[in-house]
Amino acid sequence: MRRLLMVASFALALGPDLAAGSKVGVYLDFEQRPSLAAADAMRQQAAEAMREIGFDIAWRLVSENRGNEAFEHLVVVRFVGTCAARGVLPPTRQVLVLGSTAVSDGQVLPYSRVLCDQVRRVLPDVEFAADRHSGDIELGRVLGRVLAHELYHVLFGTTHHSAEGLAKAVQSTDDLKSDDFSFTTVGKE
Amino acid sequence: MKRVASWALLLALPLLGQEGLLEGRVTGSGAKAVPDAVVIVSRVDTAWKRSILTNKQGHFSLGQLPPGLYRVQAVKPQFKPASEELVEVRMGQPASVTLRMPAERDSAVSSAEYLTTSQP
Repeated sequence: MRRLLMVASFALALGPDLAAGSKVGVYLDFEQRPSLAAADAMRQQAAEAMREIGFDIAWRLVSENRGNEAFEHLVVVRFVGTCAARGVLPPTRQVLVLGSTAVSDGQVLPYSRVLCDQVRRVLPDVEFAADRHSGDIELGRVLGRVLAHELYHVLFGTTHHSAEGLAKAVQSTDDLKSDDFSFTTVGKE
Repeated sequence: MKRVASWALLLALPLLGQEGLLEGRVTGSGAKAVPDAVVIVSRVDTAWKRSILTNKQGHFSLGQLPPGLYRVQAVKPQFKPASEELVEVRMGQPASVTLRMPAERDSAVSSAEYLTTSQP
C-alpha cells in the first residue's frame, strides 16, 4: 500500500505536462573506457528504476552527438574515474559522495556526475571479486542506481530528497546492492 | 501497390511544408563555440518543450517544429545561462538564433550530492 502511495506521489510530482513514458535522452561521457559488462548493467538498472516512475530513457554518447536530436528531457552525465572492478582501490567505511548534480542560483542544471572510483571504494567485495566479470556486473548495477538518483534530481528539478527509496540523500551500501531497491522501496513496517 | 503509394504521397504533400526548422549556435566569450550545452526550446503559447545538445562546433538543429513563437534557452555549468525570447519559426523557412553565454568567473555552481554509508 505504501509503495502504491509512493508511485502516486511521483506521478503527482510529474504533473499533467509530464505524462507517463516521457522520453529522456541521457548523454553519457566516460572519463575512461568503462567495462562493457558494467556499462550494460548500469544502463539496464537505471532504465528499470526510471521506468517505474514514468521515464523512458534513450541512451546516447556525448562523443557521438551531432547536435540534431531533440528529446522531451535531456541530461548529460559525466562518469569520473574507472567504471570497472579492478581489485586495486583500498576499501573505506567513510561516508563518500557517489554522485552529484549541478545547481546554479537554485536552479538544477541537467548535468550530473557519477564518481566510479568512490563507488568502487565502498564495495570491496565487488572491487576484489574473484570473478571479475561478475564484479563488473554488480558494480554496474550500483552505478545504475547512483545514476538514477541523479536523474531524479534533474527530471524533478529538485535538490530535495525523499525519506525512503532511491531518492534518499544517504544510502547504505546494503541497499545499493540489494536485489529489490528502487524509488518506491519502503522500509519494513 | 505503386498507385496506392503515389496517392499517399500526394495526400501527404500539403503536410510536408507545415513544419519549421530552428538552427542555432551557442558561443562563449569571444564568439568561441560552446560544445555540449543543453539548449531548451519551448513554445510560448503551450507547454511543448524539447531539449537538444550542441555539437563540438556549438551548433544545434531542431527540425519538425510546428510554426509559432518559441523561447530558446542554453545552459551549461560554469557559464551564465542565455536565452532568446520570441523566436519565430515559420513553415519551410529555417529560423536561426545565436546564444551568447559568457563563462562565469566566480562560478555559483554547487551540487546536490548523493552520499553513501557502509552502515546498514
